[in-house]
Amino acid sequence: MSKKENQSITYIYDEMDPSEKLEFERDLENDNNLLIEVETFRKISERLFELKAVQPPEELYEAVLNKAFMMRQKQKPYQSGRYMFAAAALVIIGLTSGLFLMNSNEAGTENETGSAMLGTPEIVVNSPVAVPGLMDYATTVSSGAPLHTETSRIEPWVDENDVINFYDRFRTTNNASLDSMFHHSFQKLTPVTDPSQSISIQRHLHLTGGRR
Amino acid sequence: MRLTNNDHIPQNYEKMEDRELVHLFRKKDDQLAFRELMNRHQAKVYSYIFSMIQNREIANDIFQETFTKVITKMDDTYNEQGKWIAWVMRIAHNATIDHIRKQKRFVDVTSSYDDESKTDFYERLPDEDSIGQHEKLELDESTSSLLKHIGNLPEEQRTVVMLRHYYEMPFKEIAELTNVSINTALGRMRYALINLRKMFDEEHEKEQSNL
Repeated sequence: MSKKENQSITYIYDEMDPSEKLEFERDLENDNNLLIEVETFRKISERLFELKAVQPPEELYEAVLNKAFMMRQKQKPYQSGRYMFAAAALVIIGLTSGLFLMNSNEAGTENETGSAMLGTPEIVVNSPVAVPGLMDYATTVSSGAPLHTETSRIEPWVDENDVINFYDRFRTTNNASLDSMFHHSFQKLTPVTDPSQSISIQRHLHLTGGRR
Repeated sequence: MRLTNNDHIPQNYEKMEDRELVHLFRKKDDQLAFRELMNRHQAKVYSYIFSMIQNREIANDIFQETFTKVITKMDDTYNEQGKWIAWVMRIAHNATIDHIRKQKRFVDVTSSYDDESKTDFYERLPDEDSIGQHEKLELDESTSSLLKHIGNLPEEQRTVVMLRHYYEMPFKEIAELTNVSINTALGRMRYALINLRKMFDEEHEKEQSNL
């Protein structure tokens, strides 16, 4: 069935676009056979519109409503039970994934520490006894032995003698050494003799940290 | 809560749109909302089933089956985006077509010669005037005559005619409901009108000859 042949149906049932309708009406003026077909279809369809709705019997209407509502009531406990199961499942999944995440974090920390050890089988320990509080941060080291940090995470660093240090640079410096550094830094400064040259001198003045 | 016919449906329900009533029923289990929905659409749904089956008892069963499914599946399968009644009509249509197909299968199985009744399949076919006598009495003459002709149309054509005329469903929706292209739906309507015209002409000729 071509689209063209179906146009008479869409026309009589008023389901045509306005532009399509205009074009079809132009065709109707020029084609008598098409006009007869459309008029015949229109008459039959008008007769069909005389069809009256058939009402369901009153008792059926009531029976349907009552049966349907009873079935819905039966469904209710099942549905609420279903929601309970869904909520319980959600809680269990949440708890399980929480535990899993916690475990994986712990495992990750251990792995990180372990991997740091793997790359350096021979480790020289620099733990100056003179530094108070150092033992809190320093690490017990022996080849291949596990590394345990007591308090916080320490970034290893290498000093000028290529020795790996496992304590915080800043914390290991006691007050006395800090004072000495401070004192020496002032000694590097020279007094200004000619104030007129101060600007140019200031321009070249660089304050740098002293060596430990 | 059991509702009776005396239950009064508040006026504001009558002003509500289908989707609002559906929402009330789904979320608050408001049975008056469902009753209002049924009041609005039951005649069209029943007419469609009855015109397709043309038997009161079977139509009653299918109507009941349809609304039982509607009420039990509303929470799971109906999404509030589409028209509620289009969804109901789909259920009614599927139930009706299922019944017709079962009947056809039954007829195929028993189409051989029956030794007991000494009749063959064609003799056991129901009368052409398939609407029962008591159904005829309930319907007015023109409706029962029209239904008789519509009942003689092939199932596919009958479906399109009934959905368009009883339910005023656009052809696009009919095509979706019956899983065919819009062109096929329009073609079925065209053939249905051609066939009905022949039937009306024959009927007219019969009436003329009887005079």
